[in-house]
Formats: sequence, structure tokens, C-alpha cells
Amino acid sequence: MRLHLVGTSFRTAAVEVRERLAVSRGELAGVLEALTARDGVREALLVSTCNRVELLYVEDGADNDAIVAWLLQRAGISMSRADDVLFQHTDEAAIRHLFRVAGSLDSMILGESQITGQVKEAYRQAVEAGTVGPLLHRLMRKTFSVAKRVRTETKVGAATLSVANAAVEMATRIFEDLAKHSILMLGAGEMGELALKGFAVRGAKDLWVSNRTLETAAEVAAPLGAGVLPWERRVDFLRRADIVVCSTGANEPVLYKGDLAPLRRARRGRPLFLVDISVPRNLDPALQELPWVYMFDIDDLSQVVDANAEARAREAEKAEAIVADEVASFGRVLSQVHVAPLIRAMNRKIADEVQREVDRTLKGLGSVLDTLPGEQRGRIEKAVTRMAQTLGKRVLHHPIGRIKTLGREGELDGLEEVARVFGVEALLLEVRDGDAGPPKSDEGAESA
Amino acid sequence: MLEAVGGPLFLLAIAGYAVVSALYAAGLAKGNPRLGDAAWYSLGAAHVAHTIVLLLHLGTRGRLPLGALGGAVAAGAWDDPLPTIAWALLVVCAAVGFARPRNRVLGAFVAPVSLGLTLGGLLIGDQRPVQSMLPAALESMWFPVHTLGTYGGLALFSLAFAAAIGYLLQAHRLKRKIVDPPGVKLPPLNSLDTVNAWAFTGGLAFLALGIVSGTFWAATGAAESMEIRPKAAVTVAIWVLYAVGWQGRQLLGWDGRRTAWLSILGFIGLCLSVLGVAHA
Repeated sequence: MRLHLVGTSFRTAAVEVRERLAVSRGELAGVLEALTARDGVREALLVSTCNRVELLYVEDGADNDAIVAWLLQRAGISMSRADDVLFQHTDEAAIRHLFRVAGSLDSMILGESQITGQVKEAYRQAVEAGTVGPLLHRLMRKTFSVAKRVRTETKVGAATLSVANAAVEMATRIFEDLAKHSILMLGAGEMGELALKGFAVRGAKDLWVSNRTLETAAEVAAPLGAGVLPWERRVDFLRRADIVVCSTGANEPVLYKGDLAPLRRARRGRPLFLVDISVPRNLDPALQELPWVYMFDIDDLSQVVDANAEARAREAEKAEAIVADEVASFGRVLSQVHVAPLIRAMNRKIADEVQREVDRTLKGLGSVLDTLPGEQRGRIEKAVTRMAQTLGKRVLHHPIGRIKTLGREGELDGLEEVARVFGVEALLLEVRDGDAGPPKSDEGAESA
Repeated sequence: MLEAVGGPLFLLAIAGYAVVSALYAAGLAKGNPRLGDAAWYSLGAAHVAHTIVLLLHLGTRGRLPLGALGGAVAAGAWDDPLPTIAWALLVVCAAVGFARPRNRVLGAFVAPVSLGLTLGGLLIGDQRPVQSMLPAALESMWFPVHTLGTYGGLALFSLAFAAAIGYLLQAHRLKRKIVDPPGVKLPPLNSLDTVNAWAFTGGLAFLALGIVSGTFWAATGAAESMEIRPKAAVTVAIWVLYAVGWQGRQLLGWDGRRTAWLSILGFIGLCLSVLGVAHA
């Protein structure tokens, strides 16, 4: 059995291609069922987001080219473009890719947390569709634990990469509890609105919007439960406000140093945080000269975002090391998955032979055993059975140990020959069809 | 017991404060909150060692190592007021840290102050001539009140100093728009200002108690022979400086930066008062 991943992402295909390959929520179960109905496809899971469409499946002799062709045909894309728009990974490479995707190391915005939830949702839907088997169950559990490690052991998702949230982040360096402070938005620009939402998400309650057109201010304020302030009262309101977000379309400043300087005593020394997200800037740069005023314009916030992006990139190196470590660990599990059916087939064959010989021997001893008391007879039957089982295990000990080594080393070509030597080809097929899951941690130990 | 156990334990506490200072510095530089946590708990361990020294002192000599503050000095390097101020500062810091865990990073500023005070006590205490105690002076009912007020005030002003350093650092970084690396979290500006204002106000009240009770103590004649006048004069001057700052904040709307600078100036003055006048 092999793990195969075929997909497309923002790195390999434009949105026009991705949207054609995308699988809607309603279609998902049907696509997964159609895939697992194909010969040799045992388990399948599909992640479909705006940035990627990835199909992960466990196959055993499936025609991967046909699956690729089916995917492209479904999207109405020519097979000749397969290499351009799709990527494919097998076994450890597929695991590495999955871990990186779930850990948000392959995301457009490095470290964003949404993708982990999307992968979880894809897993849940595949479970509901009944296309997840033992290997994918195990792999996905490991995937989520890797994503958690990446998030908790590195700071890859710690700092914000949006200008609006950068304004909120800087505000929390001045004010501990945003719920205790008044926030005034000047203007009704989209970026300012986003920042105001960001403040609301972080617990701010006393929100106000002031705009030259009162109706526009009311439109922005309503969804956030913010108050509306007449434009003429904006300066007077700064006795109370501690944070001002300015996002107007004016061509000249709407607040000057001279407006604020007289308010120092009324504000009783409280710091004032000014955010100017307007272009051209709408807050007088001289405001920064007031010692109790902390002012950030769009360039300052962009620098915050850039610095955060650099910090995330540095943290991503640590995250990649975690992924590499976990891939190696799960790769060992996967290698045993390849040899597990053969080991099971051999164990079952020997167990059947042992039982047959035990039955024949006890039957041959029947007349002798009949003369013995019940207790002695039972002891002899147990001893014969135990001896035969031990002999079977001893016979298999070395071959199974060697098979496991071959599995770990990826030398899988000779497994069919081993199956022929032990005469378990038919049983192997039966085992693969009936019970194709990964070996339990102690599996094989009994016989090895 | 005091010399055999107290001495090494006191050195251990000093070493602890040094390690804690280094841990906090590394934690802030690398943005590693685990180092910050380790520093906070190490600070607690060093403080426990320090507390044991004080208890040994109390058990052996029947009083805290107040040394020069009382105008009389007994033998022993740790029998000095500076380490006791450091101990009281850490009590206040612990209270602030447990009340609001985010303020535990204040330890980054409190630990070096404690290190300086304890080290100062050790070095100066070693060089001072040993004088005899004046039991009559210390038996006055005003003495414990004076001690509580003075030490409480010093500890709170030390905390105000630590918060002021943090405030100015954070304000400087914000004014210069310096981005914090991930994990580096100085407390917000207004939290540092709150701690500073709270310690400032409390310090003013405690020091006032110390000065008033000291005046009554001096008036009883019990402390007549002690060289307290220059120190008292300097302390009153510093109290007035703090009082001006408090008024400025309450009535004139001074911002946190001015109060922070005043806290630093006042603390330096207090240190000079304790070191320069008391140890002269």
C-alpha cells in the first residue's frame, strides 16, 4: 500500500484553474466515494479551499495516471496540462506535504491558523463519507498533533500580518484592557472599519464613529454597535477617547497639534494612541511631538507587518525541523504498513497449519488419551498445542524480522517473492482486501 | 547559627538575584516567555533564602538587620538596611505579580535593583566600622512605627523606580516605533503607569509615616545621640520632591513620563540618602 497525494495550490495554478478543480461541500462525498470505488484505492480524503485542492489517498496497485486524468476531466482541463497545474507526492513526500499544509507552512500567509481547521473539516467529512481507513485515521491524528506542535513550539503564527490588526497590536502595548477605553474612528474608510472591527474583537466596547456625513457614520457604526459622533465634536471628544483611528478621504489633516495640546490637563496625563491609515495622511505629523501622544501612520504599521513577516519566516525554520522530525517518525510507521499484510498472511498461514497438525496429533493419540483421567488428558492437550504454536513462532521469527527490516529500508520489491516462497499469495490478497490497516505497535512481535 | 548559616544563605540570595537578572535579560532579548517564568520563580527562591536570613537575624538579635537606619550598627555584613529594603521591595513586587501575572516582567527591573541593594549592603557593610547598639533608642515605641514607615516607603519607591524604568523603555520603543519581537512582552504603558502611580502614592504615605514617627521618636530624646539630622533633612527634601510630583499628576495632569522621571530621581536621592548620609 502506498500513500499518494495529488493536488494543486496557489503555488502551481492560478485561481481560474483552482476554482475548476475545487470540490464543493455538496459534491465532496460523491467524489470521495467515486474515487474509493476505483480498483486499488482503499482510503481517500480531499481538502478543497480557495488556495488549494488536494486529494490524499491510500492505494494498492491503483492507476494513478487514470486518477489524475479523472480529476482533470472532471474540471474540464486538458491532460496535457497535468504537469503544469498539479503536483504529486508519494509516501514520505506526501506526509511531509500534508504536515506542512496543516502546520500552515505552505500557506499564502505563512502561519495563518485557518488551514488547520480546514484540514480538520476535510477529515471529518471524509470520515462521514466512510472513506477513511486505519492508515488515514492514524496519519490525520499525527497531522493534527504536528500542527499543534508547530503552533505551540514556534511563534510562526504569533504576530499579525494585517495592517488593521497591527494597529490593534500596537494599541495593546499601551492599553492593557481595551474594554476600559474609548475608541473613536474618524472617517469611514474600509481599512479604518477593519481596524475598528479588530478592536471590537479584542474586547473594546466603547466605540464611536465620526464622519462629515452623519448617515455614513451611522452605516459603519451600526454593525459594530458603535455610537455616532457629529464631526464638529471630534476634538472635544478627545478628552475622553484614548484611541483614534483616522481613515478619511480628506486632503488635509483633520486634527492638528494645536487641537490636542490644550487637552493634556483634561486628560490627566493619559496617553493617546493615534492611528492614521489615510493616504494622504489626515493627522498632523506634529502631533507626534506631544510626549503623551503615540502616533502610527500606514507606513509605520506596514513596517510592523514586515517585521512580523520576517519573524514568522525565522520561526518557520524551527517549524520545518519539527515537520522533518515527525515525517521521519511517521515514515517508520508507514514502512511497516507496506509489510503488515504479508506478515499477517504468514502468521495466519502458520496458525492454520499449527492448528491442523495439533488436531491431527490429538486425534491420533485419541485411544491413549481416552485411558487417562480428565486432568492429565487436558495437560497433555495443552502441552501439544503450546509446543506446536511455539514451533510455528520460532519458524517465523527470523523471516518476519527480515521482512520488517526490508520495510524500514524501503526494499519492497522482493515481498511478492517472499509471499510465493511461503505460499501465501492468495492469503495475502485476502488479507489486503479484508484488513489493510497499519500494524499495531505490538503486531508481529508475537510471531517474531 | 546566624554567621554559620545566614552568611552563606545571604550570598546565595545575592547570587540568585544576579541569576534572575540575567534570566530576565535573556528572556526579554530572545522573546522567550519560559525564561521569564523561570526568572520569576527563581526570584521567589532567592527571596525565600533572603527571608530565612532575616528570620535568623530576628531570632538571634531580636530585631531585623536595620543597621544604619537606626543610626547604630551591629556586626555582620548583612546587618545593613539596604538588603532589607531589597527584601521589602520584593514583597511588594510579589504582591503585584500575583495580583496581575502580566506584571511579573517587572521582576526584570526589580531584580537588578535588589541585586544592587544587597550587593551594596554587603560591600558597604563589610567596610563600616562596627559600632555598639543603643538599646535605649531602640526601645522607644516610635522606633517600630518609624521603621515600618521608612522601610515600607523605600520599598514602594523602589518599585515605583522599577516600573518607571519599564515605562520609559516602553514609551521610548513606542515613540521610536520599534517592533517587539514575538514573545517579548513588556507590560502595556498604562499598566506600568498604574503600578508607578500606586507605588508612588503608597511610598509617599509610608515615608510620611516614617518621617512623622521619626520626629516623635527624636522628640522623646531616645535617639538624641544618634546622627540622624542630616539624613532626616535629606529624607524630608526627597519626600517634598515626591509630593510635588504627586501634586503635578493629580492637579496639573502630568503624564506618566514626568512621573517616571521623578520616580527615578527620587529613588537615586533616597539611595544617596541611605548610602551617603547614613554611612558617612
